[in-house]
Amino acid sequence: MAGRAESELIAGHGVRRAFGDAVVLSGVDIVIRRREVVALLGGSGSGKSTLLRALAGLDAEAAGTIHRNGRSAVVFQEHRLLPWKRVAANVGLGLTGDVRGRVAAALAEVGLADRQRAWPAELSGGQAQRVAFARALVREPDLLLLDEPYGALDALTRLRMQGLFGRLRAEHGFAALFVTHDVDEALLLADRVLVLDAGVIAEDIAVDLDRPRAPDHPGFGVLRRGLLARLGVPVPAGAKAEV
Amino acid sequence: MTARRWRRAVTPVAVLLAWEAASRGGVIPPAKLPAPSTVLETGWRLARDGDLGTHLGDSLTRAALGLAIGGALGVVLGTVAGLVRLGDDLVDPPVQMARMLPHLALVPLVIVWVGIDESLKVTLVALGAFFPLYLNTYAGIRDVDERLVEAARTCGLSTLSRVRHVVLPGSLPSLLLGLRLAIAAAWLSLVVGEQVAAQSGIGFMMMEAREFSQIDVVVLGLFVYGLLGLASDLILRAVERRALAWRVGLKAS
Repeated sequence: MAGRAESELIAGHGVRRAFGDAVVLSGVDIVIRRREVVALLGGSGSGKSTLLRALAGLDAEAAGTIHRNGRSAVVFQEHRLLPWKRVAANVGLGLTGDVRGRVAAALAEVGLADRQRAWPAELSGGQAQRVAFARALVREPDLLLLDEPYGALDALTRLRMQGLFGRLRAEHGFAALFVTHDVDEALLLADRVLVLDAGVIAEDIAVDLDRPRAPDHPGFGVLRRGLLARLGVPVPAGAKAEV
Repeated sequence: MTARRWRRAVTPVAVLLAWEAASRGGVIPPAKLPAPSTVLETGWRLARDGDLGTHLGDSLTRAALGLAIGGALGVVLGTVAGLVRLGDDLVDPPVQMARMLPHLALVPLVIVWVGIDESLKVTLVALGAFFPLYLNTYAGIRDVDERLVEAARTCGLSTLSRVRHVVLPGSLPSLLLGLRLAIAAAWLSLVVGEQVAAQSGIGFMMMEAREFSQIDVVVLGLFVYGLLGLASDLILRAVERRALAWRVGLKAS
């Protein structure tokens, strides 16, 4: 089944990780295929970020087998730009070849073409996170790993960033795995939602909603209620729950 | 802002004027403390003779040589201990032990080891400069945000590139603080070192003047030390403004 393995950008089997006696991941099986957007949901402390770090190859102590295909890039919750490098140098970090042109193109895509010479300290939170996106995009990843990328942003910036993500995704066709605790965000952006619970993937739900999506689309509420119930926040039909 | 700056100059100028007036009025005997104008006159005379220039040149040479030797050792060992665990385990314990000794207390021992010539002065300066640079280089490297190093790793940077692009620039503010302290320690070492069997230098000039009760020259030496400290501080500030421009980025926007 060479074709199938080819389409799997990342395949983790029996991924385990414990911190001392606390077992956070107890055998996770996860596959991300080309071009699909997968949301990883779970309560706080459920090990979402731990799993993402393990899949990104940032955790040397995670056990189990992880196969990777193609290029991947990571966007963290905090922008993690180097404060001593200007925006353009941050985006082009570690690149070779026509760095200048590619950096300019990536920054233009996130709407920051005019901030190439700025220091990270001069940017707002949303702008810095867009630069972090550009830094990931410029590497032309097949798979984007995002660890609560909008977690540190205010509600309005968050909505704009979700829109930006949708546009970039439509244009470049990269696959993405993003960690979130926001059910609405997961349903707006993802083709598939995974729920991490008790150290394993407890649910794997396909989101068959037409795009562009909105929270008032038919079908959205049903999925939302189901996921919230799965996360331990039951909502009666017709009521609106805040998470 | 400028008004405030002028206001801060009021008391120093007043102190100088009061000193001048007290000396001229005979309140302060010139044999104990000459007037500032007398000290400046003496400075001008010695500068014209070339004496002051010679002494200053010798002092600066010793400071530069000692700073270069002790500072380079401090930065290199601090980097090794900060970056490599084996280096940390081997280098840091003896340095932490030695730093508990006030380096000027080593003068008798250093005299026995290297004699009383130029090497004594340079060794003292090097010892004084080594510790602040070692400690701050080490601390600066240790304090670099681990998350930035990780982000650089996801960008495909090798270990060497991560050191170059993340660890070294990240530890630069701390290293410059170390340099500031090292320069202060260097002047202090010179003050002591040049009073032990020197034939030249600002410290020698002061000791010799005391023998002949030329108090104006002694005070002139103090003025020169003060100006040297001020000048090195101004130069360092300029270097920091350039090298750490990213830190003041917030003000620029």
